[in-house]
Amino acid sequence: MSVQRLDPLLVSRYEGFIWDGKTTKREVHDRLGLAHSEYEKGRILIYYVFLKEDGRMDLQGGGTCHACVLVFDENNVLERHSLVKHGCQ
Amino acid sequence: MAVSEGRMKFGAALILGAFLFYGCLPLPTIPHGLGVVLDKEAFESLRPGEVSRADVLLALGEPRHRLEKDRFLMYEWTVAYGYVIVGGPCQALPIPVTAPHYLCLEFGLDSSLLRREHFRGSLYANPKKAIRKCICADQPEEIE
Repeated sequence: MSVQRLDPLLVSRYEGFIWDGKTTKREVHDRLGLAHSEYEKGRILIYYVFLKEDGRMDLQGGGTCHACVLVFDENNVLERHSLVKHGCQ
Repeated sequence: MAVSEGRMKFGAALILGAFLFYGCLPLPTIPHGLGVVLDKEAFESLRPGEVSRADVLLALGEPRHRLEKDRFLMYEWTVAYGYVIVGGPCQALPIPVTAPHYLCLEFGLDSSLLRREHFRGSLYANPKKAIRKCICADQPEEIE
């Protein structure tokens, strides 16, 4: 079982509000709440998520924990994101 | 003088018999991860001078240790190199022989990756030693 970076489009496909270059940090906070971890004074946020059977993300649950990593630019707009399978601690 | 094949077989049987008598049989295996491990290709693709802290987190997810205000990030996983079978034939219990692995990453003030070091072995069974080695790269290793 290894840490594995998944297709980031998975997140955008099922969580329609997460788009690079569009989504703001405010929107992310409003929808997902506080992140599990913050790096670089909040420029990088990590949420621990669990994928439901329909592909949507859930912040609570059992099974495999994925790290949803969100990187914002200086204007707090999402620059890049990824979903890392087994990426939680 | 060459040792005869018969003597070698006898020696091997004697060793095996001794292990069985004492209820302990070592079985080496191909190294394999226990639990979640980092993919070697994934972390080797993160080259110093070419990637940033964000690239690392996007690729590997959350590290086990955040050190010195994130100047150092350290990932940790366990690899099994074999098993020791203890107990009798009806109550044999395989105990994995493991060693910890650590990926130490050091970042500069501009968030770029400066150093990437993979260290492993029972010397680092105590994570504090691995943390010290990560932070003080030039410090010689202590052998207890």
